[in-house]
Amino acid sequence: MAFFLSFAFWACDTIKEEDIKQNKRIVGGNTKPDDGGDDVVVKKTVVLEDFTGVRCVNCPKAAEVAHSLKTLYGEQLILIEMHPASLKSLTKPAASGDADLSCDEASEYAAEWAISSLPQGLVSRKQASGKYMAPELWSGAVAEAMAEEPIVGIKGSAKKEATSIKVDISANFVLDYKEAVNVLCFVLEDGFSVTQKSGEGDLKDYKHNHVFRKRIESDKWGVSLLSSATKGETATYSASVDIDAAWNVDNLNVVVLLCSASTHEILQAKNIKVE
Amino acid sequence: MSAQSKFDEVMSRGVLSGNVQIDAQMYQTDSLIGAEKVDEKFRSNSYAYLQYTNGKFTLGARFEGYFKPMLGYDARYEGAGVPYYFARFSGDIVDVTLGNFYEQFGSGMLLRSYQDWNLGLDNSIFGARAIVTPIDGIVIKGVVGSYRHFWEKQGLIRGIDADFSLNDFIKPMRDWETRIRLGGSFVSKYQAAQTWTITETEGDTTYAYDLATPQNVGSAGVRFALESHGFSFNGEYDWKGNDPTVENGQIYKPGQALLLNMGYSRRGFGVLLSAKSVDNMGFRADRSETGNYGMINYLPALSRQHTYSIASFYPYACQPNGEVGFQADIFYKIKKGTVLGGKYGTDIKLNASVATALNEKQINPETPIRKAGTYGYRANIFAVSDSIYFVDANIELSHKFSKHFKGTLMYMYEQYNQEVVEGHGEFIKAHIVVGDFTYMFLKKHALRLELQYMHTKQAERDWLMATLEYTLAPKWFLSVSDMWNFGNEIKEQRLHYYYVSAAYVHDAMRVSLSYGRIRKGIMCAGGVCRELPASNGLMLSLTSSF
Repeated sequence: MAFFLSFAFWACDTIKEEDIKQNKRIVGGNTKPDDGGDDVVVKKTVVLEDFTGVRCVNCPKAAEVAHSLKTLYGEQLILIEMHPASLKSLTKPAASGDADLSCDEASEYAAEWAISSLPQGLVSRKQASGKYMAPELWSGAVAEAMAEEPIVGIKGSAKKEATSIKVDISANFVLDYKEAVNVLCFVLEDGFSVTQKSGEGDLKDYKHNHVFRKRIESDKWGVSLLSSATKGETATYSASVDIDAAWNVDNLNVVVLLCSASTHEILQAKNIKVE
Repeated sequence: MSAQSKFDEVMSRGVLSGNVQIDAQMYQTDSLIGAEKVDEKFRSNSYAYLQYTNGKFTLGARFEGYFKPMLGYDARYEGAGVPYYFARFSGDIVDVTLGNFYEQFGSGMLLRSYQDWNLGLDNSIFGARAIVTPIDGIVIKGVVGSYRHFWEKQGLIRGIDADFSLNDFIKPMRDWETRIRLGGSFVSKYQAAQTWTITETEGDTTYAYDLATPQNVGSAGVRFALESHGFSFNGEYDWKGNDPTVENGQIYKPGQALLLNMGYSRRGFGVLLSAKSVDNMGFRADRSETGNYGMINYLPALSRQHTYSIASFYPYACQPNGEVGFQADIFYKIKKGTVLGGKYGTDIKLNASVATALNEKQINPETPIRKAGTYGYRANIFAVSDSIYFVDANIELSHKFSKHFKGTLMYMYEQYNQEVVEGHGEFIKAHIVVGDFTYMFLKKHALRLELQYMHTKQAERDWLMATLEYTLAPKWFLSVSDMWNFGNEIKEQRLHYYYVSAAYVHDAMRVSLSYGRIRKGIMCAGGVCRELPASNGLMLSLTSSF
């Protein structure tokens, strides 16, 4: 009894107001992204997949979190807006005439990670209580992922051809990696202006950028790039995708993801403007 | 007696009991009601519980299989296994459980571990529990363990609870007609610290901070109950230490909750008045968890749990971040032999409840309310805000007209802040009328007609529902119903939700087969809710116990 009572008084950590915030530091946008591993130091690029919807009233707040992180980390952070078509009541257009941002391939990932409510996010697809996490946790997860040492640099191009987009990349490993690596290319589109539901009512002409439109590879986990990699090794990959009539080609980007073939964690990523 | 025969005799005293439940559904795509395509077409949830008791010892285990989880259940349940098993010794003074167990301290506002399959919820504790009853009237419980989180375990919970029934162990009080009980609890959660970074901009510079996360979060509560000559008065006050979570927006304000109930009852009349103030009292095994999972405690909703379908379209669940609620419940039976009471008497039930936001104030003029990494806000207990979450005022009259015919009429007025409760939608104001009539004939036969109507200018607007049930006691049950959204603004959405169901009961086995449309909505039990997706198809349910 005495043991339990003494425990009662001690098993509670009180954090004083002045001790809540620790390790204050200045941060800012990094305008010098991964250089492809030629000469200078390769920098870690982190991917935030934001599962969102135009009918989700809490999603604009999550988007604010994502954008503030983007301001903080610049091109070292790649944002991807995922609008799963399967969560129709949250992702179908909120006003008639609006573009439909949802897609079935986003639904495949939502199903894989058991995402049934929005907003949720994944940071470089790392394991964290069911993989997805609420927006309040994104900043910490991004900070942790950003602190990791990059193992590979990516450089490449995405060229617009007559009816398709051709992607060519080379991956330059700066560290050994003992496991298999897959490559995956996502087509993202910027520049949508649609009605967005929010806690303050309908927001007209709300901007949606980096919206996931299509995966170039047929398999959701991509195709094999290497079974393992050694420091200094370079691997190349090419792929192409037909241009969909619904896309505005001037607003397209291709995001290249290099992932662990076993855990699907994103090891490195590169955003390439379609030109 | 040989050792073998002694063993055989002991074993022969053992009792094996258990139950089985299988729910399954064949899904049909129904784009009109929003029932999505289900690739597997068929899904089922199965449970089997076995318990072996021999004298003071009990062993138990529950198998669960989700192939795949039925729509509305979290996909993380997928799979099969034995997530619940225990060994228990129930002595006269000491009762010890090792393994999984369910437990509740007081009202549950500090600790409640329970299971409700309708909600897809099971937060059993895996660990050890000791219940000590040193003398009559004193019960002390100690628990340590982790909460179930689908197929894993989450957090580390330590708790102690003491309950004193004064009349039982203080001799001079034994003959009092006034009964007094006192109690107290302490619960602590351990979770390893983690990196939570927030950013703040000052002028042109952006700063990042790491938030310190408390590894041990303590909470304590006291309670009392008094009963005397038909009157009852009980209450519980709970406090929780700083606990920044995703749910509360990473604020460090300690939480508190107060629940008060006052009642009086005598033959034919009863009144219960309740009041509740909840201030930042969400308590979870994992600070990152949201939804109905990982909850250490249970915060009751002060509202009537309606059973009629349309009356429970917009049910209410307590808002753990902050809420003030009041409820009045009155029951009166008009005596038989009077004009209004008739030959059998008339029951009148009046119920009214309201829940509002807690009136939150800034901690200082510079800091916005609920800013992450601060103490969040200031609020007094029972500080009512003008932001209404929920209002329900209803009256129900039940009257038996003859030996064969009885009826119930209910009127309900509801206000429901859908945006706060469900995270989307609008502020709904609805009028609901229900008529429920039963005609019994040929001894074992009964026909029941249920008519329900909702009028509202919000959401999906007006609804009408009719149900006809036929019961051939005690084995057979048949039901046909249709719910019609005739007032929907969009003509194409004025849909019918037809539903037919048949059930057969034999001893302790019940099997039911149903077919029809299920409307997308929210299902609640005890103030905890889950989203129910729209579906269409054939459902099978089988339960049996032995």
